Amino acid sequence: MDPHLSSLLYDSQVTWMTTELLLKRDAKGVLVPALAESWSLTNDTTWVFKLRRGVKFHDGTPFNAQAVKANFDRLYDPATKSPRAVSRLGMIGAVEVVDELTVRFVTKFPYSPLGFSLAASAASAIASPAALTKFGLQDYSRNPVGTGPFKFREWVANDHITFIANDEYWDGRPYLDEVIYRFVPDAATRGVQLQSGEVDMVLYPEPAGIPALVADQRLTVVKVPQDVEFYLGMTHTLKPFDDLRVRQAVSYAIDTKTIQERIAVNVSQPLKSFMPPTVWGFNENVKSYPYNPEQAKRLLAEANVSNLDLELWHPTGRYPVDKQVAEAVQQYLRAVGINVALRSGDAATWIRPVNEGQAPLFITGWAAEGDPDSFLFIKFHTSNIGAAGNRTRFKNAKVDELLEKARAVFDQNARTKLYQEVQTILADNAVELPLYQIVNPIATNKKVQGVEYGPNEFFTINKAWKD
Amino acid sequence: MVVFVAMRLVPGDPAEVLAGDYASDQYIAELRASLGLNEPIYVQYVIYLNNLAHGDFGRSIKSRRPVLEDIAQRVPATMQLALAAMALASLLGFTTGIISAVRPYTWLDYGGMALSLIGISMPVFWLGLLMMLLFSVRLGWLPAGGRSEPLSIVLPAVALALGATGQIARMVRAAMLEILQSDYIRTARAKGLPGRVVTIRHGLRNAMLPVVTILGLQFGHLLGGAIVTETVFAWPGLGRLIVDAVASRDYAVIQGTVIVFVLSFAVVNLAVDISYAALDPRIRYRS
Repeated sequence: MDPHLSSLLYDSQVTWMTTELLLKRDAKGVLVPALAESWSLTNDTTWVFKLRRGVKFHDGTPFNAQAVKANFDRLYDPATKSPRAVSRLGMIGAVEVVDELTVRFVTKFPYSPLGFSLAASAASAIASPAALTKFGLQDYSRNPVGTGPFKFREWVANDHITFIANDEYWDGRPYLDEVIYRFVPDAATRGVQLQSGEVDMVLYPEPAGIPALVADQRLTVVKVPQDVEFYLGMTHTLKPFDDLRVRQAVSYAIDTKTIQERIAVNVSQPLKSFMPPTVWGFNENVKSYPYNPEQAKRLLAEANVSNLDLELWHPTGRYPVDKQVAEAVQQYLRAVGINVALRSGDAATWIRPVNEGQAPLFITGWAAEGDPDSFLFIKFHTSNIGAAGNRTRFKNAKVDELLEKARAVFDQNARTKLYQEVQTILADNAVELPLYQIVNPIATNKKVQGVEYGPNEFFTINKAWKD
Repeated sequence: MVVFVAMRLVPGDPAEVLAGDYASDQYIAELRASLGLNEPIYVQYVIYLNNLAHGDFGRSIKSRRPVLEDIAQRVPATMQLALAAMALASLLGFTTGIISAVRPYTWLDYGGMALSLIGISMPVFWLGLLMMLLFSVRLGWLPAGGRSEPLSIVLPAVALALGATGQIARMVRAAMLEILQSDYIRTARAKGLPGRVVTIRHGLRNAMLPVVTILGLQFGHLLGGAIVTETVFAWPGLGRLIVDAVASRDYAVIQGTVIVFVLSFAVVNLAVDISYAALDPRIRYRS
């Protein structure tokens, strides 16, 4: 749970119990104050944050500008080897203390999405500097000390983590006295534990078991749309996907509506563009490719492509029904004359060919931070080709130009126009085929109330209670 | 060594997994270098052996803590489960086997052997879920997974024990059937000794040799079966550790856990070998 050391989403959820950020996104995805009461820009690269007064860490030390600086110093310290320092927060050049409750962030270049970047990543969580020093890199993750609504109590490896309420939480003591996170690796087992009453809330229940949970009168199932695009990627540097017609053919060949409604039922929502509607700047008017196998065949013939044999790489178990979706895609492509061999493995096996541009077709998801920059720039700018995010290896000078401009400009309307134009170009180029937006079903016992669900795969329970 | 090399041949790289999404190629390269993964494989192996000789099992790539610590935390859970399952399997196995042997070719016998066959064939994860649905959801008698209550061990131990029970029962029956035909048994009966004394003191005791061998081997199977059982029942033991470690290619943890498994298996079988001498005075190891 050391926010500087982790790169996993699950770690984040647990980190939010004890530690907080300067800003956060509310349930609708809008940026709101958290540990920072307000912020403003003095110039294109300088952001000034005014911190909340009277907040204390769980160990009693005060939260102030020095604490913020100490955290960021640790994040960027090469000895920490933080995965997120460069990838998510590499744009920050300096963090300076102005006074007790004022911090100044200087970015290396004008970067308008800074607020969202700070609000998204656990890497910018603020921990007690005293605790960080006391426990060090080795042990802090087992002894987190932050400003959050809950204090860490104990961690039994592979079994559970216990938190207790923070009586002095600045936003009011939580109603819940104790929260226990249990690690249960098998999805079916999680459902069973919820039904037997042993646990009150379950994340990621087994998709096939959801109807049973919905039917159970004692339980509620909430479907929370996430900022995650689940898509079919085509690697543009591998033939024949350098040809627009082939990419369009693939897009026409697959019936995304049926896949979303039948296979990914309960875990998805239709998606028209390259980022979900939960992200501002979403353009719903981009060119779409409704299911049309005849058109697909025509385009393939035009492009002089026949008897294609390709590999489709997909994860298994990383996203709900990922394997079944891959199988469906295989069927649709076969119907238009493209023979697809499915390749898969666990996350470690699957990452490399995709990152290195060896996978002609691949299916995966992309989760991002609520600002269109984290979707579009990271996924489609030439500088990010490869592991950094541009997996389709898309290169387009016009798109690059628009994206660079959009992140340096601060006017929301101007940015919106730029991003909408980007999405139009991407759709015209059939860069990839968005399959659907991922929805997280969360099942709870009806006795639990007051939970707020957000689009970043987490939820807040400081205002929740149990009857 | 086999595990060492095999893990590194399997596709997938711990640095890539650790780095997660959004990582730049440069960061991944730096991470690999810092983890010592760029050295040729034989160099890595020698370094590992050298460290082992000094009691250093390395560090987990994911948790950054010493492997020995991670393993030590989870050993009690797995050993508890394995021993509980072993005890249960022995108890049920012996009982079933003996009953079958003293009442051969009756419905007791056929029933017992049919149950054994079912026990051997049933997949643990399927049985585990069924038991949880019945005993936890429907009846509410037992907790479904986790290790938080004293009763939590019941379901996983039963699920794990069933395969071994079947094997033990069959072995006991086979060994005893053979023994019960022997001359000295007839002599004992002729002497007028009560049936139970004959069966247990003279029959079972002499059948123990092959049975004890099976017990040793079954312990190995139990350790392996613990991996699936721990996953299904969310039991926090070595099985869970190794599954997670394989998924993140956490080489040091995998190697360490395999060493622990192998050592346990070796110790148990050594105990089996030694017990031969106790069981049968005719077998003595000459020095």
